[in-house]
Amino acid sequence: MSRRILLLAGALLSVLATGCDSGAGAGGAAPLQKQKGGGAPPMPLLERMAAAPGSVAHSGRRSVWVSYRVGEETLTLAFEERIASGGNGRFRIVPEDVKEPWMPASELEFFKLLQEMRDGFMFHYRDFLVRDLVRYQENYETRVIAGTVQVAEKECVVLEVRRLEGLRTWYRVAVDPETGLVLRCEEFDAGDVLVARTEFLQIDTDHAPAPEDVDGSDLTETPFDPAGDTHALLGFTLNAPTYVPDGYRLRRADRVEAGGETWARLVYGDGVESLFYLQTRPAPRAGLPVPPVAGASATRVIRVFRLGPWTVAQANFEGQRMVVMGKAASDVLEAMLRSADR
Amino acid sequence: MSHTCREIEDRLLADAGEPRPADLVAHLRSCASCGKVHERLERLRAALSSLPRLPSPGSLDGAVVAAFHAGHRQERAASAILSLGRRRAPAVLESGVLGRRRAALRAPAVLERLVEEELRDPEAAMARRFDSRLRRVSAPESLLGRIEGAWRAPQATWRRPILLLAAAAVVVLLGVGVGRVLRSPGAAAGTPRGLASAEYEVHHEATFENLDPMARSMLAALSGGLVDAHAGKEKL
Repeated sequence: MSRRILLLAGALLSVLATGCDSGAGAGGAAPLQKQKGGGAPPMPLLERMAAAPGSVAHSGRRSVWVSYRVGEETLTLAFEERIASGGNGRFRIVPEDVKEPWMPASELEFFKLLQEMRDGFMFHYRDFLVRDLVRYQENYETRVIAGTVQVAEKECVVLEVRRLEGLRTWYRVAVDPETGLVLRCEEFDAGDVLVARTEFLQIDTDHAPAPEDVDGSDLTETPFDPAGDTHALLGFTLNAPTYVPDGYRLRRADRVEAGGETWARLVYGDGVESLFYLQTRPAPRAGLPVPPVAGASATRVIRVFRLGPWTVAQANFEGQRMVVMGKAASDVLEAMLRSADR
Repeated sequence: MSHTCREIEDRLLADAGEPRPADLVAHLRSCASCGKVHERLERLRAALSSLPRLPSPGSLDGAVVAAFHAGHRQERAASAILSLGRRRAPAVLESGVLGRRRAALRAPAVLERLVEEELRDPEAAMARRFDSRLRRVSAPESLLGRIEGAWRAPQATWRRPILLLAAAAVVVLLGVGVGRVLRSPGAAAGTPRGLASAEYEVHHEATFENLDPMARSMLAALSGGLVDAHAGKEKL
């Protein structure tokens, strides 16, 4: 028991050590205790949070609840999933019971397959994660909430994470101080309404999962240098946006094959959130007219779609299909698209 | 995944639903990774085949039929042209062509003049061509006032052409500057509203009907599957 109290106290102090505010009023800075297995130097909690999903071997079951608005309608999805991470970069997420909405058996099986086949993308981009500690500290404010909560029988510290400027959605996360794993994450919109929650119902961090349990479909895209000869790799010239909102920087550039087309996908990050820029130019097929593409027009039309906190802006500029999506205001994404129009 | 496994996956995808040859079955039994891919493909095939059949929209039918016919028209035209017998051109046509060949061919006068100008002073010719594409903008009132004042003021006659040239240069430079600001999105980095929004029409879509399939797929993953779970909804 005393070890757990020490851990929690250490976690609070280590959050402070990385520049957070404390609602608990704790002061000073101190490193956290050694991680399991010993040997490794102690890491402050935020650093540990950034590394945990891929480096801490664990397996468990968690519930996912998402409730996003589309126009005037609110759509909800609630299901459970099994997650396993080998602590070595390997992982797997397998969907289980879908609580809401109701689906006939065939649709349910199809939905589960889709979820299973994109677990790599979800593992990297869906869940709350400190993806870049430097950017995180520049762009986000972390508040430690007084007291602890029990999640999946583990005592967790609670943090509130808000962006200093721009984005108005915010997170409340419960973190296992021992491992740095986020065991519960709640996302709130600008009006403080809960829009998404992911929570471990059960977790095992004492035993590494079997190799066959962590053979999920990781990202299979081909990274490329966006400053290099993109035409040779992609078949078209990449028009990377020259305008990127404050606080974001390029994290990845990948060539993605999807639906018989080659796409360039750039991922910009601000420490937590990701902005995606996609671009393709469909190759004309011999003997067939080039099909009309949604958004194609003589005038320059930008189409904007909203789904909860997500905004998508897409355009077809002279045959180049471009898409920007992220948790950002519409005018920001439109500006990114316009800056890629050249 | 080894090179062999990649080939096996390609074969599985290419022959989905077909009986598996013995070597493929043997590999699937011995390789856990390929076995899993195979299992997923089979589940996907079964799930897809069990989905209820929905009629495609009439507009899609029309587009497919039109594209199909268009392709056939091109194929038919190409094969018809290729199957045509070779015929000699009529004598009157041959004599006409040969007659023209014999006549000295001269470029139009305007082309000759342009080439002449280009050769004489390439930089000036390029400047003239570039200048003709610039967008004309009015000079500020204050500048025109100053130029007018300078014209009216008594001065040496040699100054007038210089002033004229200076005024023209200012107008051209303003044109270049404004044109660049309007054309270059990067010029407004950091201030999205500084871009020329008048050049773009923004449509806020109420449904996902026009959402690019790639964007839809990513949005589905980022929303935890919400988009796919409610795929039957009118808005999605």
